[in-house]
Amino acid sequence: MKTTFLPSPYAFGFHTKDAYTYKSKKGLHKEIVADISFQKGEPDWMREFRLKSFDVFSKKRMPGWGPNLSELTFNDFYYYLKPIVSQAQSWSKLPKSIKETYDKIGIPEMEKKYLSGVSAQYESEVVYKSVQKTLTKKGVIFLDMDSAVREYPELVRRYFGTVIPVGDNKFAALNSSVWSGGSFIYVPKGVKVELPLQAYFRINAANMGQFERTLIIADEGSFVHYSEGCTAPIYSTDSLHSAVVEIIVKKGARVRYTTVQNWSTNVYNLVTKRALVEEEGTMEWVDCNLGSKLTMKYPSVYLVGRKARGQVLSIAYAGVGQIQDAGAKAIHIAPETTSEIISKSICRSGGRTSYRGMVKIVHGAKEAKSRVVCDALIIDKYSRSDTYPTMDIQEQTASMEHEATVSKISDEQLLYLTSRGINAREAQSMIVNGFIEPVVKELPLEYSVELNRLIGLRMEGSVG
Amino acid sequence: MKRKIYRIAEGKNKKIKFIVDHSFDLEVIFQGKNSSAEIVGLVMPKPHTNIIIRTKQIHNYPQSKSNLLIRSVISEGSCVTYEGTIRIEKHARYVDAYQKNETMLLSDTSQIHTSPILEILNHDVKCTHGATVKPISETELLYLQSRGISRLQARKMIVRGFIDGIIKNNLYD
Repeated sequence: MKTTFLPSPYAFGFHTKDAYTYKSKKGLHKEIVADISFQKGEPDWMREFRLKSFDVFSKKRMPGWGPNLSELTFNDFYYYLKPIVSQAQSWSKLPKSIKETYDKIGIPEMEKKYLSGVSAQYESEVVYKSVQKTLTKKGVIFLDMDSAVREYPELVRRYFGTVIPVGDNKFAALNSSVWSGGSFIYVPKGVKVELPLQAYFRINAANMGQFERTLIIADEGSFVHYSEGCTAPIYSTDSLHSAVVEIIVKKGARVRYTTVQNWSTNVYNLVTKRALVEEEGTMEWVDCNLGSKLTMKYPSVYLVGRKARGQVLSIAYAGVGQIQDAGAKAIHIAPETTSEIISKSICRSGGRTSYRGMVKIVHGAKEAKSRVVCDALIIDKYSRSDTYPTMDIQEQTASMEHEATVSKISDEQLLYLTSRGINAREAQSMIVNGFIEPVVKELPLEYSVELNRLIGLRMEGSVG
Repeated sequence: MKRKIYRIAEGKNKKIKFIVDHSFDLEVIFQGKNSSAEIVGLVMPKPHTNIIIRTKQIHNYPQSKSNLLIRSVISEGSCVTYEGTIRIEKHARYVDAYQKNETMLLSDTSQIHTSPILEILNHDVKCTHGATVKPISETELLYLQSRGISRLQARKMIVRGFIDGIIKNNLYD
């Protein structure tokens, strides 16, 4: 059978026309940064923060490692777009074109069934938001970042940029200077938010960058699950997406952050995600990267309190022309901290997947434990898979395990399934879905159904 | 830094064993079909030294096979940086490559920095690596102590067993 190199048509590749009340000039200068802040009517401290970040961004070099970013020119993008409606309180008040877009993703149905709150990002601003009354009753704050800066300036100012400092890396500095949208969540002491909070992101204009800024603070003993899923329309020019997600897990709290990333294959997705975990807290990242042209994303856990726990589960899929450079970071700074990283990657039709990870256990982190498992599946001879882990252990009583395997779909498994009357294509997609099962089972139901379908779709025609 | 390159010809099998207390660079290149190598190494730096160990398993030809095990025992104030690469080239099908790095930190001031790297350009291969850092097991110590062996002696026995795995090639105990 022959292998096709044609990309399968992008399932969510549509876009609707819409008007902007404000669109920043193409490119990036100090004036544009100041202008974004002015357009949003931000307080002085935030404007200064943006300008300072811009200086850092200008001075910082591009990362000297990892995939090639030389085709990325920062002046080719728009850095801020403001749709006509800035905030709509109910579904019926949304403009028709925006509603149509959401209908295609399936937000209304999902809302009925699962959502406790929707904060959907359409372009650079959150335009639709419905938060269940119970959230407010419990004292939970769930807002888009822009509103949070206005409504809870003290809280935001105290934590903003503390987990990921401006100078952390070039893209974090870029985000800090031009950020727009994203979510702000504060969960008070002892409050458990039962239903996952969700946000939908969408890029809908050619050559436009998206720079969400998300900050989650889970106070002592609380629990929250935040999930984001992205789909984006196809455009011929490259788009840039560079988010910063900061999470603070206080004593005994637990936060789970789920991402299903399915940008169209012209998007650069360069994201910095980090969680600071205090005593007995738990942070769980569930990260699925299916789309984009190039993704560089390494969700991190900084375990700073005794018995803090971190977990990173990830799936990466790279098809035609895609590079998924994903991984995880676990830094153990306190005794009895534990971390677990499970990474599954699949590449086919010339796609490249890399696992890039780091585990560091510093001196004094007594009896810290870390376990890393990364498995890669290479579907055909055009693809490539790399593993670049680093483990730095400075503590005698610590234990660390790392294992990685790279293989193809086993002929025995295929033969077994085909002998049972399952056609080769179906068998292959069954095996792949089984391969990613340990991570998929951690996803909310609607995501896992969608993911299994997507993987099935992507595996079509891959039997070589 | 000492450096050694082995080129393994078609159908040949090579057993490589090294015991070092200094920086060391090892490259094993498979230059023919059905070539194979078993590599075992013991790394024991002297107290208060920093050393770098690099190994490369480069599979240029189909059906080549490699198996690598490196154990490090790191004493007081020493740091070992280990960088182990397995590279499987595009045309090298049916390769079976394995790499394992096990470390024991003997003192509170010992450090290990390990990066096992895989670069796989062919899909029809089997490639696995593993790296572990483990403290001396309390259960094992307790067992030995319950047999009347002093704690210090017990520690020595356990470390000795770990080292002997390489020296005497009895890896399956």
